[in-house]
Amino acid sequence: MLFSKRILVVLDSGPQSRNALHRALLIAERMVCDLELIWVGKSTPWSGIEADMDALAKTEIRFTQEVVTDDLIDAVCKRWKQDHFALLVKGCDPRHSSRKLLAPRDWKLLRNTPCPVLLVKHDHHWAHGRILAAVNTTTHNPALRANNQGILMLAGFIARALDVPLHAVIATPPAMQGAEPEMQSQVLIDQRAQRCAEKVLSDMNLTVDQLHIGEGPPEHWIPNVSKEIDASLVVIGTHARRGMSAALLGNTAERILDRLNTDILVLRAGLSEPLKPLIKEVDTAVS
Amino acid sequence: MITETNIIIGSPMNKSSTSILLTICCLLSGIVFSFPALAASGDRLERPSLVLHTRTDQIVASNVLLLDIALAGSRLVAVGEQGAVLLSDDAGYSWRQAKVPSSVLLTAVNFVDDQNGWAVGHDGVVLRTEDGGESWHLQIDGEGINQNRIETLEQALAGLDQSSELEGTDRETLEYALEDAQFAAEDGASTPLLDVWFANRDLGYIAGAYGMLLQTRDGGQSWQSMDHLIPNPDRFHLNAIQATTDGSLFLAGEAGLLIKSDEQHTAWQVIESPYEGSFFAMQESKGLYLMGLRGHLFRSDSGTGWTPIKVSTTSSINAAVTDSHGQLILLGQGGLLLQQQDTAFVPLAASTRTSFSSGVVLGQQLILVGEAGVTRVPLDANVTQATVPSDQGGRS
Amino acid sequence: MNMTRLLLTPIKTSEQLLERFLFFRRGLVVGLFALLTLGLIWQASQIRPDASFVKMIPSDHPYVNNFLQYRDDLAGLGNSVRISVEATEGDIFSAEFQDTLRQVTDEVFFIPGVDRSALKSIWTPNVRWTEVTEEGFVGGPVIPQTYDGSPDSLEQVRINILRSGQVGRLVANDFKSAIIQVPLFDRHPQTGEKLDYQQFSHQLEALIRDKYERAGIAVHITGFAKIVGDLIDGATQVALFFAIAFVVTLVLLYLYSGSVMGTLIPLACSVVAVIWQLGLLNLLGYGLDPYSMLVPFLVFAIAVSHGVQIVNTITLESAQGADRRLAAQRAFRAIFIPGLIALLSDGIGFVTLRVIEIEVIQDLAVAASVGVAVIILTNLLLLPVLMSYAGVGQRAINRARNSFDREHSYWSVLTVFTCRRGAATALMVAGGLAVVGFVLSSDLKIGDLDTGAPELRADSRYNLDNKFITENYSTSSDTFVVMVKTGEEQCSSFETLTLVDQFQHSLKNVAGVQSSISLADVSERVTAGLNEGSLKWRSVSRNQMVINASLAYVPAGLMNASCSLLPVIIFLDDHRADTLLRVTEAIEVFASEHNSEQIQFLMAAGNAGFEAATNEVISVAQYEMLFWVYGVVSLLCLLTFRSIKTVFCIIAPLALTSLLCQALMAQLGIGVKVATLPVIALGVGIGVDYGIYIYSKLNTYLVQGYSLSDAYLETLKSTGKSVAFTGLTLAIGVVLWVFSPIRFQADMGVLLTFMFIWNMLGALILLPALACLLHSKKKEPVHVVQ
Repeated sequence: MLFSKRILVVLDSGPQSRNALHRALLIAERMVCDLELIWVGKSTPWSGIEADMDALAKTEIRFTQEVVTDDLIDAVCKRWKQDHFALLVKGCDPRHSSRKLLAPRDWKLLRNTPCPVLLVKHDHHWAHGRILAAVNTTTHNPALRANNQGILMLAGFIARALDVPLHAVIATPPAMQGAEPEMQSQVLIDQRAQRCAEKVLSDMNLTVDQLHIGEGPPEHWIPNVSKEIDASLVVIGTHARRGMSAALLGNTAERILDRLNTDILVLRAGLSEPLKPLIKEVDTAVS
Repeated sequence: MITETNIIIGSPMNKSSTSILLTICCLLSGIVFSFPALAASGDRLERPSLVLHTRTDQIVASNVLLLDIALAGSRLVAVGEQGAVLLSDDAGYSWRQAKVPSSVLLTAVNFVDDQNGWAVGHDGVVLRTEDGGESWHLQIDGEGINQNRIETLEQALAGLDQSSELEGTDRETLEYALEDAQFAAEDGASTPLLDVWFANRDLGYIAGAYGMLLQTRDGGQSWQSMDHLIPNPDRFHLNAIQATTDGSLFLAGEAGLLIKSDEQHTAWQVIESPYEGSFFAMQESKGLYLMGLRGHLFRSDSGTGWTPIKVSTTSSINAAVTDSHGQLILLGQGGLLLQQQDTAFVPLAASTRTSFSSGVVLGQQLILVGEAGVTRVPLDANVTQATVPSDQGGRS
Repeated sequence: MNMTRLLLTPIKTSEQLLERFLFFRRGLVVGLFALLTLGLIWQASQIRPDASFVKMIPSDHPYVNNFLQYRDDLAGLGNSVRISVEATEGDIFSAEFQDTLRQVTDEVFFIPGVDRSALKSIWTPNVRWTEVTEEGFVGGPVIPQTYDGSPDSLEQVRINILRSGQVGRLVANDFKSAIIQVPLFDRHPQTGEKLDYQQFSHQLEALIRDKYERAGIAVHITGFAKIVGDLIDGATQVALFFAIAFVVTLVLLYLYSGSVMGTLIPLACSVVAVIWQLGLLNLLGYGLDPYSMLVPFLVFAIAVSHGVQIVNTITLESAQGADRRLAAQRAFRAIFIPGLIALLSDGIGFVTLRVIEIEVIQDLAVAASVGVAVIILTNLLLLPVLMSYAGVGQRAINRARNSFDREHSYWSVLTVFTCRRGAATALMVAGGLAVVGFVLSSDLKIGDLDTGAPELRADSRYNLDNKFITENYSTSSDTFVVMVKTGEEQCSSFETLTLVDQFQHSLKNVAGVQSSISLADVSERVTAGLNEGSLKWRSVSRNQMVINASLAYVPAGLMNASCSLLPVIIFLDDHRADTLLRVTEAIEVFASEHNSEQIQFLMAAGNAGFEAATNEVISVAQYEMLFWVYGVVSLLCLLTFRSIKTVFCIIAPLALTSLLCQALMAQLGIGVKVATLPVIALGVGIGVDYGIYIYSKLNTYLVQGYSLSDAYLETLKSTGKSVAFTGLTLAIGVVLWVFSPIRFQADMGVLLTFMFIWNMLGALILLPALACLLHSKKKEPVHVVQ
């Protein structure tokens, strides 16, 4: 993926498109990638971002641009088939309502894109804030554990590359009577989460500035912490449930979008395996 | 049995012989004791009467049908269904049961003294006791009676020409009688015997259905059929035998049949009957009384002229007893119990619906038997209404 | 540890998914429940009473099987009603009375379900008098053709009655009342429809009792159909009790929680549970019988008690600062395992009742387990979602906060049982009680100990009627029927009749047998009748032609059409278990000695026969049931807590309560019968809830390293109140049954109230005591609290 060195940028007439373009530009410059710009939506292509397009043309970054008329997800999948890209960048839509029958567009993207997705919500440089990695270290599920590692690796990589502090946030589940002993009391749960997180970090040779462990639904805790530490980017994983299970159970990452005012980088579970060696390679390349 | 075994063991025998003997004794006793069990599932004629457990101290087996009661000395002996023979030595307060080898319905009982008695019943059963009713043995049964009858009739036919004993009979009658006897024999032991009377320990008579009359002169060891000797061509049932003080014998039966014999019991003749319905009983008490169906009661001085006595009931009178004043007490169907008072008959006790079959006066008590088992009625000098401790029950 | 994970993982996964779904899609959840509730309300409204004669007797017992096999040949023995018309002033020989009797007979004739050909009263043509005259037999109907109500006619009727042998049967012994014997079709012979007992009973009331009872005439009605009708009617009163229980629970719950929403919502969810239970029952094809109509009470009470636990936890979470949605979500998660396990143990405990092979109890098991399954949905799932919308209210939160802050809690009194001395004392007292209970419960009898219909009270109209009839007529209402099976056309053979005669005679030795009647009696009596009524002829003749003549007219029910079955109807003094046992033993002995290929004595029919079968089934079933219930519940606890000592702590107090309940039954003179048999299973299944909730909470403190006393105190401060309240709601739900006109409901009410209260005390006192003594080693806490 990464070594395909292409970044797909989805642009439309939404308020964050310009920010998305800027962000993509920054990343492309840093990572020496190509950009592929696609315009979706009904409004006039490239309206509102002409200036940024001109600015882009003046850089050395190679880019292609195309107007896409079919469904966004179909277009993305088509693109993916042609040529894998490393990252998808899009401006985050202002509000995602779960009440509608069909999932909002961003959510569909998060569920269906086979690579990490960056939803952009602001214009500040990441170097001015902190990187917050949201993980769930108490899980036993191997796929989720791998996802945790992927998130931490990615967040760690970005933090190191930009030389900003890395924080990790863990939302612990509430106490459950009758479960294993250490799950029966909040104190014990937090302690266990701490231990597991420390172990994971030490296994990966990563250090974080601060480990935020708190109880409560992730969609409350993570935004709280992010506000507290003034994060600029939150890296989070998602189950990427689709269809009926998404309708019934939903995905936490999707629900968090509206509550965060940072950029959000979403890593799908299952993507992390191919990611690891690549990150190592890029890491060594960059540092 | 046990003493024998002890003796055998006591003598110096080797072990194996002892054990063999023990085994044989056990087997024998087993067979003996299992006999009742084997017999228990047999025909009612051969099945010993079931011992009834005492229910209360007072009157036992109030749900047993009892048909006759007699005095053996001061002991009361009552007989009835399923071969039940009940004994009481305390004037009817408590009762116990005798050992009886048969389970048929016993209809009549008679004692000549306090030890010797006879009971008769269905299936031609004739039982004898020599110990005051404690134990009984079978003297003859229906099959024996049938056999006896056939033989007697065959002999009679054979000796028809000779003896003048057979007055008023002819060959045809005897032949019919013989045919009937043979048919009856095919039915098996199906003759109900209805009454028994013994003059003394040797001479006795039994009356039964279809004109059956039996005589014995040896205390019941052998019996002679006398059906053909009495003038009963229609073979009506003979319900009652009554001996009178002048030594003659009366037979009262179905359809108004009344037969009297002479003192030697050889000549029998039909008496003109005052009634065409059945007579069930006779009683002698300052005169002869004849009673039966639908409340009919007749009196005669000598036995030949009968005058009806009005009794205000249409229930059949089954028997009569005399109390200490010589007054007649009538008992019968539907709880009929009347005591003679001068010329009228008044109810003796509170009414009950269960029928009485027979009774006996003992001291100041009238002991009745019938559908509800034993009933005791106190007899006062002044006749008052007495409560009868009757149990309701019986075969409903 | 791996075992633990194996057991827990599916539960935890399901919990996570459920939690997400419930709290992500709250609207959808509520909408779904509302929709289902509407559908099930409609179903529930269609539920009908369903009482069948056959359901109340064992479904697979030799006696019952024999009865069912020969049922068609036993006319009128299964199902009949007796209507006694009484002349309260004077006797029956008045024109007015006879006219009334005639009208009633005619009225009954036309009621659907009545077997008209077998209807008997002195006004029906099949009741005749016979008499012997000089010419032979004469006879005629008891009411002569020439009857005209005149004094002469009445006198004739009186004579005819005496001659007919019906005194004590169709006419009372004291001539002050007369009976109409009404045999019924359990199933209509042509249409196959089942008899609707309630409707029939109402018809009897409306058309007979109400119409004809007046000054001078009283009507008494007995019979199985009337019992069932009265039972079903009594049931409607039960609905009133439900309303009372609801109101009382509402008030108490408000006082306890101090929260309006925290009262209304659990109650609403519990009512929804009841609706669903009834609706599902109807959907599954069950009706309501007098036993299963008590299940809604239980469902309501259990639902409220679990709801209270959840609301309590929500209040505690709210007091610690969570908003209403978070509080609800946390409470859901916290209580999920103990709540689920408790309800599963209730449900599976009820299912074990199905080992008892009496259909009415099996239906009860289904009704109860469906109810509990529904509670899982309404009170474990729906309730938190609704509470997440509503919140508990500030008052409740303040109350909770105040009780936290309170230094000294009055619950600390109970912690005395967690120290060694207190524990030992408690256990010794418990041990003493157990011994006392054991001794007292040895008096426990199987079956019925009273006269009359056991289902109804002694002073109920039915039992008063029954008493009237038993006192004034000769035939007892307790009949035990032995079916004598012979070859075709052999029922009237000499061998058969004399054997039956012998059998009946042998019964005279059995204490408790009043009398008996059979074809042999008919033969004997008619033989006597053919001989001018002479008692000396009352015997079975050896001559088959005489026998045949004597059986020319046989009353219905004493032999079947092909002369291969003759019933012997045995009238008993009562239907007590020891009487029945004596009778059945005696019959068994006789049958084993005399059964052959030609003739077999089979038991049994008649209400006493069925009761004997029921007693036999129950005496075995009561142990089977206990074994299963305790086994299942212990297993579930073991899977939950994964420690045998814990299981013992929870189960031992239950066992004590079961023992004491049996002692109570013995002392109150309540026998173990169909109604009371499930009581102990219900008590155990429900009583284990306390232990599960308490121990789950206790454990959360123990793993943190608290001492037993401190952990217990904390547990009581948080869950103690709800446990006590649970005991209260459960008791309220059932105590009102004590006032039911249906006696077995009253019995169940007393016993269940006792069990629920004792279970609560046992959980609060004995559980910590046992825990103290069993966990004597200081358990290594999972992680020492800093």
